[in-house]
Amino acid sequence: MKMIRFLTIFFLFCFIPCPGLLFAGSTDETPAQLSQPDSQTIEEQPAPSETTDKTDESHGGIVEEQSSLADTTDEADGLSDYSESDENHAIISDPLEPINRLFFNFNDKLYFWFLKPVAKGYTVIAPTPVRGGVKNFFSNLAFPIRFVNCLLQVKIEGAGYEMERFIINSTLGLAGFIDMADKKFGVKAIDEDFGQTLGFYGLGNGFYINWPFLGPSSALDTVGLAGDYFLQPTYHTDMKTKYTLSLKAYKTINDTSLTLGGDYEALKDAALDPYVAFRDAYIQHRQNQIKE
Amino acid sequence: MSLKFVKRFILFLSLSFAIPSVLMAGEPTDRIKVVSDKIIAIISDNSLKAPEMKEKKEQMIFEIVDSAFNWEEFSKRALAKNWNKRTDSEKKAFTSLFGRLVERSYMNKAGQYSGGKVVFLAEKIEGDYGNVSTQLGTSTGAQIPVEYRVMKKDGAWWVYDVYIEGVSLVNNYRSQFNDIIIKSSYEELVKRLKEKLEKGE
Repeated sequence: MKMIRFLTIFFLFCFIPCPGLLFAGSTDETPAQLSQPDSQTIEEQPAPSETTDKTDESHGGIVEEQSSLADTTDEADGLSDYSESDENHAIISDPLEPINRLFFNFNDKLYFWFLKPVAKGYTVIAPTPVRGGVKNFFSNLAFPIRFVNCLLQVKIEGAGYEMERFIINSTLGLAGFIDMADKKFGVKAIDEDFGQTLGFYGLGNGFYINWPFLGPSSALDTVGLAGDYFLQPTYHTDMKTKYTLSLKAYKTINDTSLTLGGDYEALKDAALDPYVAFRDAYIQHRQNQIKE
Repeated sequence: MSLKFVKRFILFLSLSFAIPSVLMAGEPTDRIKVVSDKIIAIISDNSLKAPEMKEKKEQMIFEIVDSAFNWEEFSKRALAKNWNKRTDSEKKAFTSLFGRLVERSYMNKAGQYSGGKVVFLAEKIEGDYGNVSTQLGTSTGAQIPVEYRVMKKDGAWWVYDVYIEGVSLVNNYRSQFNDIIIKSSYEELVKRLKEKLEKGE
């Protein structure tokens, strides 16, 4: 029954973005709103004064700018003033650092001692196209998360693209295994989640949390993760928790198998303090996603 | 319903993609193009693939990277407010250490993406600053956005930061350097940089 209800809601949703497509483009840019979350997360902002004139301008530059992919030069301009540039850099407070470091090491060991060998073994039985297909399949299932969060952020065009992707990939893409929308039509996924939605409406990141198993997160994204939980298809089925967890584990192994090229190792190897490097990369990445 | 909508979507799409994107290649793009072409040539050079050539190959790549990356600008930005507190000789020593560290990580990445393809997407120039966005296609089919921040200095364009998937390399190091300096000292930072470089060689 739950499944049927879920499907009904789903198809009802299908009709919402279609008229939205006609207006596509009009809601494209919302720089004014985007500036809100940014100013909150950047710490140590200099007080406006004549001496920091330059930096203030650059703040404005960054803030309004990164909403659109095309222009980011002002940001470069802001960075030109190197001595102040660290104020432009998103920093996150880390009151849980000792525990976080503990879990960082735990996850690191988990990766090297368990996840990586298992994923490596898995590559032997599943060739790359299969693993890519599985990844696409899971990604297609996560469509409600991206779609609803696009709508929540009034990104009507993005929601339209997501709907297109879902329809094309579920049908032509054989239940999502082939990303036809990207391959044939060049429509890429709009990666939105509830954490980004909260950031979009001006909530700050809060503090950094490095979860065991889940990895880098923030107070904001943890709330976001909990919100997105209800948009997962598995939540709307009668599936037992153990099966849900098994699926999640399988997805993790599959995802890991596709990044065995060494992204994790490379960043870790390049770092003087891997914990800080990952914390910073995470927060930079999230700030970027919120601004997009 | 789906067929009708699919048709409409396809129409919508074909219209939206009918407008070609115009790429204006300027000096900064050319500069990075030359560097990336040279590096790709070295990586894919079969005569350099033998293990005993590894050192020579690395040396060649380092030289090319050095010709376009301004390590002093990297260091200035990564040390931020701590830069001005350093003496000239300290600055020099730091620049060389940090440059080597970045090169090494860049090198690891480059090796990892051998066989990858670089696509130049866009270039923006504003005064003496600009950025060049590229996309690196890996052998596994992933597309990684790489953006070079460039500045004009002494008549040439120099890279002073690289954004990989939206993460600034300089900012990333700045967090680490700052953390180490706050928790211990600048001397400790230099010590750890040296250790890191020795361990990797």
